[in-house]
Amino acid sequence: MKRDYWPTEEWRTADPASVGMDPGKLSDLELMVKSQYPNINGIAVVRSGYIVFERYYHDHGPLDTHNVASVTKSFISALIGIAIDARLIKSVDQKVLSFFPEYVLDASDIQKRTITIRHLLTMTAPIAWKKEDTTGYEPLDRLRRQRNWVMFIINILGRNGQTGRFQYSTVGTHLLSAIITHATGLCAREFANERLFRPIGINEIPDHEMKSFLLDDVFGKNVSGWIKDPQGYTTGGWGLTITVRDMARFGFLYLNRGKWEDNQIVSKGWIDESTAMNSNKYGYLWWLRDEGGIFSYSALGAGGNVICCIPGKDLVVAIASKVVMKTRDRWPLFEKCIIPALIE
Amino acid sequence: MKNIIIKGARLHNLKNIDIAIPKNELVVATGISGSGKSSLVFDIIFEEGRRQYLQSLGILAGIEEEDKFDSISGIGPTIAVQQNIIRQSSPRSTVGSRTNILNMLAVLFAGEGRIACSYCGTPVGDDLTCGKCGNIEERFPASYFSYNNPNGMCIKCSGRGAYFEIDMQKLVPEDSTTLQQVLDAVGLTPGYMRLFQRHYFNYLATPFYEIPDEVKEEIIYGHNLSKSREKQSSCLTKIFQGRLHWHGEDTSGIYTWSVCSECHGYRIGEEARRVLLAGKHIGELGKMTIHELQAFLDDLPEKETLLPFGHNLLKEILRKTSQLIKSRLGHLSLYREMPTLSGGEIQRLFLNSHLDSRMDSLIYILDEPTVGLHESEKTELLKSINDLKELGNTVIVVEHDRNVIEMAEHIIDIGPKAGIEGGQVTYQGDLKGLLQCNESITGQYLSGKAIMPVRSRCQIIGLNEQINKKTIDKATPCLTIRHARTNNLKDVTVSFPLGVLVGIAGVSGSGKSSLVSDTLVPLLRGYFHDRWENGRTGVVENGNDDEDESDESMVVEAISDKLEGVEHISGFAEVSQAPIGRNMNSNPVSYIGIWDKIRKVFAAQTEAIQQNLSAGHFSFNSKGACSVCGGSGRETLWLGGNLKIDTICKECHGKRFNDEALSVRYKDKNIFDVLEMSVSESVRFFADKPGIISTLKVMERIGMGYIKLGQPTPTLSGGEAQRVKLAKEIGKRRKGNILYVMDEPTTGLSLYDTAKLIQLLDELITKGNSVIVIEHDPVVLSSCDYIIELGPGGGVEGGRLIAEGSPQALKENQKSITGRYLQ
Repeated sequence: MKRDYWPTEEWRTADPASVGMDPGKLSDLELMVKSQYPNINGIAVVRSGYIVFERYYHDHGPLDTHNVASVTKSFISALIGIAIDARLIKSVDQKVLSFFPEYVLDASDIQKRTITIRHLLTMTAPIAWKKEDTTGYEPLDRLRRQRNWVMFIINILGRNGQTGRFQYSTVGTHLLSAIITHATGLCAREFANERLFRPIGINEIPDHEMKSFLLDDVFGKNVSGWIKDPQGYTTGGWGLTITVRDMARFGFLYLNRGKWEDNQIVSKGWIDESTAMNSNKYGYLWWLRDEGGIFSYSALGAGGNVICCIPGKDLVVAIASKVVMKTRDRWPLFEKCIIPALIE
Repeated sequence: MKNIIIKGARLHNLKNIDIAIPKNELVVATGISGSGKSSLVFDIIFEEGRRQYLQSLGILAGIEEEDKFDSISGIGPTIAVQQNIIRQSSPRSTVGSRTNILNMLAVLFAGEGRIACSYCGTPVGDDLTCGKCGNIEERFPASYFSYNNPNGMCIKCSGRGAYFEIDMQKLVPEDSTTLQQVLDAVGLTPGYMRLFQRHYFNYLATPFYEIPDEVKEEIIYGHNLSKSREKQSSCLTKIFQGRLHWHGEDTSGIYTWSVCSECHGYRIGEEARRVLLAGKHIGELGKMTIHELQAFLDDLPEKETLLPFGHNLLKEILRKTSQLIKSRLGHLSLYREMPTLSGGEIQRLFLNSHLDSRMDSLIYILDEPTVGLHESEKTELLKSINDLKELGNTVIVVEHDRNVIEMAEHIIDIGPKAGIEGGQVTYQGDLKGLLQCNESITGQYLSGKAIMPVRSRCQIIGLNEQINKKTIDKATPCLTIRHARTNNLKDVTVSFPLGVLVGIAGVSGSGKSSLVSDTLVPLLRGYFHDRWENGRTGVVENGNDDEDESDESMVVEAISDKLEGVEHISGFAEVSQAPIGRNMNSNPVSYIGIWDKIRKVFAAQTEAIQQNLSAGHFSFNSKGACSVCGGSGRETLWLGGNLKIDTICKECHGKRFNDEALSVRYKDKNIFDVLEMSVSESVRFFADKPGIISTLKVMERIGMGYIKLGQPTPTLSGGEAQRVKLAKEIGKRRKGNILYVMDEPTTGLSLYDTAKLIQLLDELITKGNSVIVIEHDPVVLSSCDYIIELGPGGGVEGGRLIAEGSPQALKENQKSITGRYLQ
């Protein structure tokens, strides 16, 4: 797609009508957010490369960063793609354990041995405790109390799980971050700064010392920058803080199939592979949706954090939300306001 | 109001009856199987009490579907303790989780436990700082002490304390062993062998260790086949699990249930194992017997300084443990899995939890609480039941047991017979009146006016005249097990005489099931399975031959040196009380194998042929299903938690079929009408179709004439399920020489039906077969030719052979506990 400018330095804004959006419908969007989505802190709608709608709530502004929870996973996906493009990782079929030679396997750990990067990207690796009969959930609080997160995660891979079954797992994505470090020599945050953030104008994230690994430091109000585990691995499944405008930049990079100005930041092939529709409706750490003839892929995080890309409409929507337990589904915003605002 | 008053009860076979049931009394509802007592007590009193109570809380607005009665008054909140609810617990459910004691201990450890430093192991002080290395620890929430919670479970065994393991050394002994050799060694059935050979064709000649990891993984663990959670490709793990579970086969040590190497059976994670009270972690407490636990907790306040909250919690836990000890459950550990408890233990545990709540003004409905109890153990159970009433509750017990009936303050006898011939109140009042009531079959049997059948050919198993010699006449063929050590069995060597009726007696937990179900039956399976595998004759029938079935429940390894004398029998059939199936689409006719025949009858009718309907169109599982409910006939509404209500499908009105299928009639009945028929009705209806009615006739003869052909099998009681299996076995009309093994066949049977059962067993013996029954019922035991009694106590106090011989010999044997109850 030909662009008349790139938002590397600054995003430009435009009248909705000038890029084919109905301003009336967008003011409905504002009303709906205000009345029904009390935990949204910021939202930006980008059409054809221009911001047509941008609002902040609860005293937030364009410069504020937000803890976007599992939206982090889609960034890890891009970083794996970049590492593969750079031949630092051979392929998605490389075995996970080949990156952790220090882990000693039992002879019977055949299942663990066969888990690949692809299994982790597509959430189809076998993981221990999601059996039907138990109240299965990932013990993330237990993870944060471990002295060595990566070892803990490798320990729980395999047993009782079934390879190939879709099973959303945050801990699995953390392993991908450790793989990036083993493959590139940089932690995922540093690798992102160098290969992803700097080229597209996302604020680079400096190292933040972890004072402790208490609940608030790992999941709560003390999360800042991009947190790391006790061994210094950047968290893979969550833990990134970022501005709404930077979220939109990342989505815009994907809309442009990885090309930014004259540079191919992420290969087209990787993006196509990451967002190809399948029966799980889940790509490489991207949620896929095909509804009413509109195909979209999204980075989604707890509390209703969203980067939604609709390639067919040249549209990116970024939503930053306070992470709370029960939230209203964000899709009605698209269904009732954003998509109807598109003028063909 | 002093009475529960029901007017015009007409559910199922109830004949528009009016009845007043006194409250705050111990009421026994009795009558022969299928007489309608369960309809009255469970379907009307229990359901209505629950419904009204929920309605008063505003939980659901009266969804009435069946016209059950005209009016009901004086009812209160009802609680039912039903057999099938008790029996189908998951292996994750343990004595500790069931009684809530483990949760309370978890809270105690979370608040008061001493944490050891995760770096150097030194116990940290009250400020949670390690005095030695300065590391700061954090307290763990209670979930970290629960093996059922992802936070607390050992990550290696997922909280079971053990797991199945494949011994790769044994599976693939040499580097050069090829896949084909591995498959040969595993001993696959021809079907599975073809499947594996087709699927892994390219690797058959490859040494196993050189096969790519992915393929090896798939061969051993299988892959997920579809989005549905259950579908897994055929793999060795699944085959081994099926064999261990269903056939109890020895897998040559290749696939074994081993104690977890990470938690050593303590079930909990590394975190919880670092938190101690008086030097022990919660997993160690879980493995103690309740006796030991009580002693440990009694001493705790001296060894640890507890906060007031901890003290109160401890007091509450101790109250529960002493209550359990009083109910004679002190020999159990908190980690003991529910499915491994004996019937008596389960009953006491459930009653205990209700006694424990100390609520009054409730209506309790108990379903045959004496099942699985030895005569000598009933006294304590009866006391518990009485305590429940003394608390100020109404207790209605559905029971056939003489002891319970004799203790009742008020007896309701529903009858006179089953099905259409029942549904009336034949007697109401005290015991004395019942014994004099000529209309009541129950009363007749209790008073001795009706007598139990006399065995047609009572065998004399000679003990060489001398009771103490304990040797069976050498001429009698026997099955002999030597040195059995399964579960609590203490090196038992025992002979079961063949061609006769052998009873296995003993108090609950004494090792009867360990000897028969966990030792004898697996050995028989192993023997006959091998012969079958090798293409020779022999019959293997054990309810389920399907290797596809697998289950997580505990598999007990049969430990015994050997089995002798198998050559005397040509096959065996285990007729257990295990549920036939949990699928609501399965019913007695499909189980006994005549469903296809009935559907073919319908497909052969002119209307069916005209509409081009095949047998498949008369199945609610396939083409014949109602399109709205998919053939279930019901819709389930979840009210949150465990509360749900079933309502009838609005489209088919519960008939499960579509109009097309229902339009075809045979002798003026459609396929739904046939499923609604009782066994007795169907025997008359299909009188000209001997292929259909042969097994149904057997069902009728063993007192199951009242069962509906289409009754979903999960709603059958354990005893009913067992009798359906028995009928299926007998319906096969094999040539003699089969050994039948049964576990408490009298469960759910009235004296009247027990008489029928004895006749049937007698007939089996007369035809040249052998029968072994695990039984408590003195009537059945008295009819046996030979009794083997285990004991003297339950658990560690049992597991020994304490007496054997004819009923007469046991009566004269001082060591026998059972003998004194025989007639």
